[in-house]
Amino acid sequence: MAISRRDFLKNTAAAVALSSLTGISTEAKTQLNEDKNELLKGTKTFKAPCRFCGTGCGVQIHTKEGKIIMTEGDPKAPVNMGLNCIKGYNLSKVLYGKERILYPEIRKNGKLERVSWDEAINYIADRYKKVLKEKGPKAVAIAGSGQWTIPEGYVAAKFMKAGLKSNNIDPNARYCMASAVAAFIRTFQADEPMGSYADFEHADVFVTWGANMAEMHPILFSRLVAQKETTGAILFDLTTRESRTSDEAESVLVFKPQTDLAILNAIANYIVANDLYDKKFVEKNTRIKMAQIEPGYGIDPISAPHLAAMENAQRGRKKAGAGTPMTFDQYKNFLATYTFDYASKISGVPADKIKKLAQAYADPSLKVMSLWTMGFNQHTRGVWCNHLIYNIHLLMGKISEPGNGPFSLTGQPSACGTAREVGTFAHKLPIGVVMKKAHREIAAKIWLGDAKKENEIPSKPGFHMTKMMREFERGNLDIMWVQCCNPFTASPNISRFRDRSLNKDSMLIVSDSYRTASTDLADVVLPAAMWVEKEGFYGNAERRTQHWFQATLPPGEAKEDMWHILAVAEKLGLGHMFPDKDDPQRVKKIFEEYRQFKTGSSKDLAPYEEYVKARGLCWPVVQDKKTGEWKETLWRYNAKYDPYASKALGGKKEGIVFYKAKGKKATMWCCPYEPASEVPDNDYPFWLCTGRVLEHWHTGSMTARIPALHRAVPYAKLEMHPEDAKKLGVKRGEKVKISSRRGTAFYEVDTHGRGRPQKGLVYVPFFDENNPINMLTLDHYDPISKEPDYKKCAVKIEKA
Amino acid sequence: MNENKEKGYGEEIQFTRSSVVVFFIFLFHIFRGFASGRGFKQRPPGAGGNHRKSEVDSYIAEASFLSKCIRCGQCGVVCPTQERGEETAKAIQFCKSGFDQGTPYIEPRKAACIMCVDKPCVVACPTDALDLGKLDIEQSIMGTAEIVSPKGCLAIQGLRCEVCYNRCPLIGDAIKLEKRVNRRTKVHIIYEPVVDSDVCTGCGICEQVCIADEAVIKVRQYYPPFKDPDFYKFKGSS
Repeated sequence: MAISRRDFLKNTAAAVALSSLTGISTEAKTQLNEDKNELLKGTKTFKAPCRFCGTGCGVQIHTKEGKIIMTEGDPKAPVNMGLNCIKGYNLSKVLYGKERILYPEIRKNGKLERVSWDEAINYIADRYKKVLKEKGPKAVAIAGSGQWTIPEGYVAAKFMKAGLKSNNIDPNARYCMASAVAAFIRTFQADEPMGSYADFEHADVFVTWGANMAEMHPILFSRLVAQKETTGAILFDLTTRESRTSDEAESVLVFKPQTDLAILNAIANYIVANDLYDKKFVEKNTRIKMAQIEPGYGIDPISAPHLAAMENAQRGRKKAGAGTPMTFDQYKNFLATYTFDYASKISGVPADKIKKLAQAYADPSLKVMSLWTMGFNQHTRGVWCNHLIYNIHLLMGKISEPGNGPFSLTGQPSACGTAREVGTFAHKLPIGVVMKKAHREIAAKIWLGDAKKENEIPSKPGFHMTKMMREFERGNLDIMWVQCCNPFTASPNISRFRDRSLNKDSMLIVSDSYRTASTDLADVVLPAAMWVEKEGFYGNAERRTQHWFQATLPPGEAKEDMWHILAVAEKLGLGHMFPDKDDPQRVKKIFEEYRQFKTGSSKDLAPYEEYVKARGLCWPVVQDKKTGEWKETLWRYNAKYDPYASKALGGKKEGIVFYKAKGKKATMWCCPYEPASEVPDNDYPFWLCTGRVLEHWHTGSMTARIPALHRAVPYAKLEMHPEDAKKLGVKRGEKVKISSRRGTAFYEVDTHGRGRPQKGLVYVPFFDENNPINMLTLDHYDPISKEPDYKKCAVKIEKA
Repeated sequence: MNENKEKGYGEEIQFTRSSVVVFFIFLFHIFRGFASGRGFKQRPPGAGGNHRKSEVDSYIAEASFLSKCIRCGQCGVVCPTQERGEETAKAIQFCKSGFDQGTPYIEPRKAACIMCVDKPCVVACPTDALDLGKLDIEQSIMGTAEIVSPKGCLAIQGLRCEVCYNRCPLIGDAIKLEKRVNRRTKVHIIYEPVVDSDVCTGCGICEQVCIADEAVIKVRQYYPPFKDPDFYKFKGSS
């Protein structure tokens, strides 16, 4: 790392220039899977997607003698055009942080001790054999991640669902965008956004709903602001805490937590009551259903006894996801209560501000792009929020067109690619869900060689992530294998999960690159290769699948997560299901097998070689029959861009059709406003909201190891409204004690930071592993998506 | 010979009026160069009574501070310890050598002044070497931030860094962001951090957190705007 950027460029300028002049990308020439030693020779340039958020920026990696000396934004990447954020700029350093885990370790007499790979794998395999024999496949689980590469996620899903016959596999994406997934499926019967990032250059109005894009999706926000500057587009920001995004907004609507439901309904009411909706579109493309009201809050009485009565009362009802068909008039009547005044009264936002927003949505001449992330998804009514935003777009027909559309952003590099598309969820398969026989048959045919073996894949969904953590805590899971994530910092209410008194006999396996709270609790720690230390694919928020080659060797004895699973699978006699763990072509083989699921399903992927060449392709990638060219689709459901939509419309090149939806009609779900589960009261008078900062990513297990980023933001601070601080008698920079019914922590107060919470709300980012705010959060979740709500719980604050 | 000797020793050297002017201008430039370049030392808040409401110039304040500081080290004792992961550091350090040995100074790259609201160092100072009157810490002048090498600044290159802005205690006031569309990509915005030296206290947090290998934003000496255009004019010249 001693070589400066300038020196490096001088040395390699010739090589890079040559490769770009001849038009042959260097990465194509350096297909080095066959010979690892090749990696160590000379200087080379590789392409890869960034390893952090869901934007999926392209980076160029320059290596010298097998070591990465520099990364920079890839000018050819359509996502970021050579730009990066502060995290992306420091990407290469993430591989070379202090305290990488280098060797497999097993806990012996309470201490983690270095062992050989053979010993570790045998130890794990023996335990698996014993547990599977005595307790069956329900006693084992894998907690995965949206940071798994696509082949890794695919191998893990196949290993669990077809190999061990257990559905107990769920990614940490459950904590991130499960609500978005559930709403997509319930509305369109097909997951993932219809639009793409190209929408940013076409929109007239942007609306951010509980998304601080300025910090969480910095490169995309840069595009949004450029569009504002060049075309005069406007931005509405709906939030509970003013942020950097609000600074750019023409109108900021600061609402009380949970009342977004009322605002969304008020907008729909304005559109319907004033007959402003697109009648043709609504009639042709939609149907309406009433959601099951009061479906509960997923509260565990152990963690919140004060809410147990309410939870029990609500849980007694029908299934949370149930719905009853409704006519448009009934829908109109339902909405009638949500006047601007009513919404204003509940939310605390002035009525005229809501009206202006509603007018922007209702103006047929304006192209509106709605953007959201965790504000909607991490919400006890997250699925409903997602539904309500689709309702508005469907009512206006503002969907699936350039610049028009609801766009659900993601937080992990492969939340879409691995978690959603591969289906590493407890209920999913690479195509469809485990509950449906037809889907299991497809999976059985590819995985087990015979569609008739579908009964071998269990039809009942396994444990979702929160449930998995709860079951592990109670000792009901004998083996939990954590890969690519840090649930013992990231889960809500972690103090209960960190207590291992009830599950002393269970085995916790953690595959990770750095020491985290999860590895500290683990019985077996396996060193994992990360990012470009292995070959892989990531899928970003705009359905873009991106490939990268291995650019450097992992340190010590670290191996990719897939290798860990394949090694154990081999010992369990499942080796025949997978390519050899050391096969240099394994990623290609696995990807081609995975591709079979997608072909012809309207989620088609291109062959492996196409991804090697391209800077990612947005699925469905369909081959042009005449030219043989593989073409990506930027706008789904739109016959002009999507060949499947064109096919569904009988070859027409115009029009929108939700061809995956039942009867080709998207469902508008009618969802009321319901209060949050834990609301501030006299004892705990403040709302607590958690989130991220630009400089750090998730629990900081990577970014906190990068010295420059750690120096930039070394610890978490508590953001508070200056008047609240004055009332409590605390000044900026002083420490406060913050406590909820579940835990206590100490933070420095900031009253004048980049985020400015509303009165009565405090905000703490969750990256600080030494001082995790998740000690305080409540493990309540959306009963449909099972995604926890990290944005709302009641706390009290005292001067420390 | 004799004559020459007498001339050399006996006679006063005759300074012409213009040579005196040239000499002072020379001195002034040395002073300025000294102050804006390597010679500048960032002092704790209120050093020599340097704050927004005072009329003293920053290098006069420096001289005043040096004459009043008794090198007792009290300010360093009360300066809060900052957590830097496993390491800890205090903003106030003491000169180890030189004519100002024992006086407090701040090296922002190691630990910047965190601008404690209750100004413990100013309160602890037994003389008025550190003197803010009744003013808030936001009114102090320790220097002013300056982007010394814009070419190295990530934000100016169009990357989304802006860490100096995000961490600035007077965010939006001392450091502002100027927007312009990236001329290369045409679809991205460039946020250029711009320091308002009339608000910046020179605490140095921006210099500390800058993610470049060597900080591209640094604390430099603050010059108040010229209130009196004749201030530096040599009154004697015709």
